Amino acid sequence: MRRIGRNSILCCALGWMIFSSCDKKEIVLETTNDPVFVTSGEINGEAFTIVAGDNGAYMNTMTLMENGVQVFSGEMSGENLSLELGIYDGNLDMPTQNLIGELINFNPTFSMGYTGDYVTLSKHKYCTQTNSQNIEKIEWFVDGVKKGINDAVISEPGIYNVCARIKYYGSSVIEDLCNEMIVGYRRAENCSISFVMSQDSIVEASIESFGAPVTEVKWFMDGDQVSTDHTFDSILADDNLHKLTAEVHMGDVVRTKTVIIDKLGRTANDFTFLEELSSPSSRDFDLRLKIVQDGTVLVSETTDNLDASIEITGFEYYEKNSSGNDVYKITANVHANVQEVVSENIIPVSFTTTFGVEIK
Amino acid sequence: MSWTDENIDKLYQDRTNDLSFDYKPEYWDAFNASLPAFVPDVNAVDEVDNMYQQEASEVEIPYKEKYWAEMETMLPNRRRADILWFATSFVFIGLLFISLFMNQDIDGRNDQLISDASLDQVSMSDNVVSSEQISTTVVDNSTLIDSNANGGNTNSGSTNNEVIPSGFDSNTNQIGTTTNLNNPSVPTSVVTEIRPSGSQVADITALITVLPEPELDPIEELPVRITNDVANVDITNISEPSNEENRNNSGTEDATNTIDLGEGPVGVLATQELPMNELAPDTSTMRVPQMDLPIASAMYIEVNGGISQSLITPSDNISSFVGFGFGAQFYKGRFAFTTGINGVVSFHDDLVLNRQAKVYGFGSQVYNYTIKFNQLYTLEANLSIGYRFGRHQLNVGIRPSFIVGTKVGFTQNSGGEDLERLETYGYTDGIHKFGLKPMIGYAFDISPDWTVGINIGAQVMNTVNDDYINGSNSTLPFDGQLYIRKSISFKKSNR
Repeated sequence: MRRIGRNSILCCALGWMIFSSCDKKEIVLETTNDPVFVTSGEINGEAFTIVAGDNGAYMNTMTLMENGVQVFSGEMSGENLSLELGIYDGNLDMPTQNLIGELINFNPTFSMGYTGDYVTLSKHKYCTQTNSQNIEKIEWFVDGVKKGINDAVISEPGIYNVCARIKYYGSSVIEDLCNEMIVGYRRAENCSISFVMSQDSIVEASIESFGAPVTEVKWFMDGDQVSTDHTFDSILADDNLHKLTAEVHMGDVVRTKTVIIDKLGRTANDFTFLEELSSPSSRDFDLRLKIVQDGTVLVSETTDNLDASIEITGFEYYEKNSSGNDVYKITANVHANVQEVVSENIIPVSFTTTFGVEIK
Repeated sequence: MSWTDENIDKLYQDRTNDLSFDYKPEYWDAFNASLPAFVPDVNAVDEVDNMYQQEASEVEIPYKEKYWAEMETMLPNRRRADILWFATSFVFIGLLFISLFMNQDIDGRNDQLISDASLDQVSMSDNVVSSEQISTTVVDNSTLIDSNANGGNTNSGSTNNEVIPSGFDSNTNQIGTTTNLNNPSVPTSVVTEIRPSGSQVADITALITVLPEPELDPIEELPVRITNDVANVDITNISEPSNEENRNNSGTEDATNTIDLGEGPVGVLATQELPMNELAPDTSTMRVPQMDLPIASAMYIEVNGGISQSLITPSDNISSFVGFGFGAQFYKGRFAFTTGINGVVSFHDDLVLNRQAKVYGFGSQVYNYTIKFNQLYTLEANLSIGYRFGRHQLNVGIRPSFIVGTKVGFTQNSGGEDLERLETYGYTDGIHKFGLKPMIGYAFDISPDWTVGINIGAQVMNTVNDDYINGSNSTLPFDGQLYIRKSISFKKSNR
C-alpha cells in the first residue's frame, strides 16, 4: 500500500506539472446583447425606428453649452433621420448640487420659446434704485459683447457675465463693474452687498441675503482676499477706485457680487438685481428636441408645447462615453410638437425612446 | 429393561448429540500416532495420475446452462445488494478502491472460472491425500471428491480436525484430505466425503474450500467442516496450521501423493464419468457445500487508441484518439465485470466552431470568433460486463465520458480585421462535456497478464453545440478502440 501511495503521489505530481505547464490563456468572448439605445415612434404620422448600432445609426452623447448653461444632450443619428434630446441644467447657482439626484426625480417639461426680453439692462433703473447719481454713462457688455449704452436687453435665458463700463460725471475715469447674471433660470438664493462710506474714508460692507442665511463670506479687495467675516470694514487710504467682491455662501448656493467703492463718492452698486425682472419662467431641467429628417430641421423650442408630455420611465447610469464622461440612459415616452425652422409648420411627434445623455 | 439394539442406538445418538468437542491439537497428535506409517506407492500414484490426465485431456465438456441453474439452486438464498456500478461515479470509485484491498487476499487472475477452457490443468498435489478410490465431481467452482479411503493419509496435520467419531476406523484414510490444484487459476471448493470402513457408519464430509493462491499453502485457508451423519454431529472448526508445518508435509509428499488432473478444464470432471469405477461419484453421499462463489478481482492498466467518425456532419474527416487508464475487473463465474477509467486525447481536424457576437452600445460591433478544437481531453469510464469462454471474452458496456479540457486555436475578427490569434488550452464553450457511448467489444487473453481487445462504440450524446458548430452533430458517430491491458497485482509474493 505504501508503494501504491507513493506512486499515486508521483503520478499526481507529474500530472499536475503537465497540466499546469499548458498555456491556459483565458478566452473571453463577447456575447450578443439587445440594442441599448432605440427610438421608435411617429413623426407627423410616419413611423420611424432608429436603433443605435443598426444601419449605421449611432448614439452620440455630449454636453452642449447654451448661453453659458450646460445642456446634457444626446443625438441618435440614423441614415436619414436624427433626433437630439437635451436637458438644460438647473440650479445654476448651486455648484455643489446633486445633479443626478435632481434628474432622477425630475418631471421635465419642454422648453418653450419666448419672444420677449428676459432682462432689460437700464442705466436709469439701476441708478435710481441704487441712488447712483454720479454715473454719467454705462456701456453694457454681455459675455464680452457690447449690447448697448445705458440700455440693453438679454433676450435668451442663460448665465451671463455682464459688465457695466461706467463713466462718472466730472471724471475721466472709466471703470468696469462685472457681475454674473442668471437669466431665465431659477436662482435658489440671492443676495447683495450693502456698503456705506464714512467721512473718515472708512468703508463698512455687509451682505444682505434675500432668503437663506449666509453661511460663509469671502471678501476680496481688488482681487485679493482680505476677510472672511460676514461684514467688512476698511480705511481707503488713496483716491483710487476699488472693487470690493464678496463670495457669499448660502447653504449650497454660491453667488459672487462686486461693487465699486472709493472715498470720493464714485461708487457703483451690484446691478444683478436687474436679473429678476421680466423672466417669464425658469428653464431648469427643461427638455428640448431637435429632429433632422431628410435635411429638414424641426425644433421644439419655437412652438407651443403646453400640451406636450414626456414621461420618464427610466433613468440609470450606462457607462462612460468616448470622452470619458458619464452617460445616463433615459427611457421615456414623448408626445410633443416641433416646428420646421424654415416653413414654421407645426408637426406632432410621438415616440418611445431609450436615450443616452452625457452628464458631467 | 432389556437393552435392545434400538435402545443402544438411541442412547448412542442421544449421547452423541450432547457431545461437545473442544479442539485440542493433542487429539490429532494421538490420532496421527495411531495411524500406520504411510509409504506412498509411487508407481501407483503415477499410474493413476497418468490415467487421469489422459482421460481428462480427451474430454470435451460442453457448457450447459443447466449446470449453472443447478448451482444457483444450491447457493444460499441470500440476496446481495444490487451493485449499480454504472449508476454513479461514487460506486465506480468505490469499486476501484475496494478492489485494491480485495487483491490483497485473492489473486483474481487465479480465480477465474473453473470450467474455463483456458485452464490447462488441474492437479492434486502437495498436501494431497492420495486415495485409491476417488470420485470427484466438479460443479462449477466446487469439486466433490468421494474418497473411499483405503490409502493412508499421513497428512492428518493438514486438517487438524479434532473430531474422531466413535467407530471410526483409524486404519483408513478418513480425513485430512486436501486438494491442491497445480493450476493456480482454479478456484476450487472440494468436498471430500470419507466413509470409514468400520461397522458403524460415520460419514464425514470435509468441505474444503481452497482459495486458489498458488503461493500460499492451501491448507492455510481450508475451512473444514466434518459432519458425522450418524451421530448428527456437525462441528465446524477451522484450523490454521502453520505454514511451516504444511510446507513440511507437502515437502515430503509432493512426489507421491499427487493426482494430476491433467490438461483441460476441471469442468471435465463435472460431467465426465471417469472410466475408473473407483472414481465414479457416489451421489448418495454427496453433500452440497454451503458456500458462496468468490468474487475475484484484478487491477489492470491499459493503453488504447482508435479512430472515430467525425463528430459533425457533413465531414469526411476521421478523428483519432489515444488513451491510457486503469481499472479493475471482477470475475464471477463466466462473467467479468470491468470498471475503469481512461484519460483520452482525441485529435480533430474538422471541429471548428464559429461564434459571432453583435455587441450593442452607442453603436454596435460585430465580433467573429473562430475556434478550432484541435484536441479534446476526456476522462472516459469503462463499465462493461463480459462473458468469457476460454481465452476469449465478449463485452458489452458503456463508456461515459467527461471532457476536461481542450486545445484550441482561437481567432478573433472584427470588421475584417484580426484582433487576436492564439492557441490555448482549456476552452470548453461550445462543447458538451458529458458523453455516453454504448459499446460492444471482444477481448483475447494473450497471456494470463496481457489482454488485447477491441471495442466498437457509438456516441449517443451530442458533443458539440449545434448553435455554433459548422455543421450539425453527427448521429451516433462510431468509433473503434483497440486496447491492450496488463493485469497488475500489488500483492507481495510469499516465495
